Amino acid sequence: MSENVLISARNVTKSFKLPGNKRHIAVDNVSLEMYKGETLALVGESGCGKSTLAKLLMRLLDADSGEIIFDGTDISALSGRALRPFRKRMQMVFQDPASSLDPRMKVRDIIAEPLEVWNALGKKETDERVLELLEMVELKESAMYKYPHQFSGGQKQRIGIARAIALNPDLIVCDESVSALDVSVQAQILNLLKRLKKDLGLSCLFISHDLSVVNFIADRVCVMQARKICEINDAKSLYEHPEREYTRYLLSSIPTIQVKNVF
Amino acid sequence: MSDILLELKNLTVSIRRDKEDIPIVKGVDIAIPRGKIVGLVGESGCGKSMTAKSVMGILPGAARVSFGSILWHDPDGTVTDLTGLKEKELRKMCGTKIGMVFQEPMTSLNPMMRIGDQVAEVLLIHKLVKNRSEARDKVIQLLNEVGIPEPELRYRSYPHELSGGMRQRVMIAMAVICEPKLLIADEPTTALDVTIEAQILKLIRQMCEARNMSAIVITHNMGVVSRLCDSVYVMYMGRIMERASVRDLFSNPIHPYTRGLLSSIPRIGENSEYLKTIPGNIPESEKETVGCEFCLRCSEDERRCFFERPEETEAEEGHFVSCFTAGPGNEVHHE
Repeated sequence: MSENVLISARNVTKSFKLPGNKRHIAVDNVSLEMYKGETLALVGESGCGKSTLAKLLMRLLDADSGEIIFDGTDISALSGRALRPFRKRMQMVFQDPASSLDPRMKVRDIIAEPLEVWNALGKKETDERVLELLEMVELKESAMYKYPHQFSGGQKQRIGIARAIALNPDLIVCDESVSALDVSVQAQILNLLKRLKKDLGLSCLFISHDLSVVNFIADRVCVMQARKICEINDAKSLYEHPEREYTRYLLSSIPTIQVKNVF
Repeated sequence: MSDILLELKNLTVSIRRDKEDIPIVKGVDIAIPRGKIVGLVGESGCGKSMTAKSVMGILPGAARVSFGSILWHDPDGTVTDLTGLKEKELRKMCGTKIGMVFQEPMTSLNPMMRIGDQVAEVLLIHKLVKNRSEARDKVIQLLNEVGIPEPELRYRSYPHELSGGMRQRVMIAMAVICEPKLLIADEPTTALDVTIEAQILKLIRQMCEARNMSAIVITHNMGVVSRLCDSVYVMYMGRIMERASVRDLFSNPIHPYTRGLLSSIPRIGENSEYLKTIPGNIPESEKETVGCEFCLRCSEDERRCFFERPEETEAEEGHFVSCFTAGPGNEVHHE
């Protein structure tokens, strides 16, 4: 089974310093395995440590203790140059599409930036790749020479996704990537993510507080509660037979709609 | 005594830009019955917040009510048009008869003031109590009612010391302390976790029932509507597309936009490969359309929607739709 594991965390703990020699523990002794090609959702209430855990996995934060193993290599001790090849293989899509795109860069340059940093393609090849990426996220060619503010929220998120998949990463981390969007746009982006995952064989760590969104997109679900993992299971089994009291509580809190005749 | 508390009649709100009036709320009719909770749903930019803000007279600078009236019905039968009131009169009205809860409790509370004093301030400004100690007693009693533990201690807390859910409870206390007849809640739970959301929705419901208070709840979340509201208005690009009781709307959504919205929501227990979506985006064009606002994204293929705006028709009792597919002679068909 270990060959199928893309990234795993072993006994990872992270705490932050507070004023007055106190420490706030954000992630407490968490172990987690993520398989190749799967979508793993991380759910929980605000402050439960889900974003911190994702940042630890990506080495955007350094853990106090524990190991992060990416594709067989312990990356928790790597630094600088040695870490770089791994950086390329994991990318992130952020929550707020407006603030994660540079307002002074044209869309072409935003999407081309990772390519220029890594691949040193010629200008023509870069343009071609940008076009290909725009097509993948269903944006028009004319988008290349526009600025982010000329797009709606959903389109901006598509640009963010194009940038994340530009380097053909193994893992993309979506941190609340659809929660700032309206439902109709959210549905479009969710469909896009699902399709890309299938076409490109991506693994996706999907952080969300919305259990119905997670149910649609995830293969496995990991419920976090107060810095620890509470329950982790196949999406289907988790929704049908939640084992822990807290998971049941979360599920019962979702405002459900009884709709007939819609479809 | 009429059953209606507040009535918006042909309300039009415009924004002035480049010496031109651009309508953002286009002839909206809404009636709020006494003691009922009315939901206003739609996507960002559809004009739902503007509609609510026009009631309170707190439209942002460039926007103004350019047409229509907002009628307040007092129990004794007098009717006041809020759009015609002077600022001072409106302020008195809004403070004591209408309360409002905003989306982000952190930015709508004063970070420099203890929460108890903030709630008490409302009472003192409107001179509803004789002195500070009476105000304090009332506030503590209300903080207790909205579910804040240890209200005597919490009276002295600052907003940053409270969690998001607790802050929203304080906001609700502030909105209802003058015993208003109407509560306007603009996205009251959007910034909160699901578990807290469920608690706050229950609290709003309880407050309304205990005081026979009406409420307008503005939200983009259909789940919130189905949990909280009695009736619902669906808005798109400044117009009401469909209105009905919550039960009718969810059991028989008629307008293609409503159906599109409902089918875009991922649902637990339903494992389809892809979600149904509404194609396209909300058009950015600010030009007045001749036809139906939704025609460009509509799934129904009807030519006349581009040239003609459908009148509101009653599809079933109390269920109104502005769409040709629901008009007389047209079978409502579902695929």
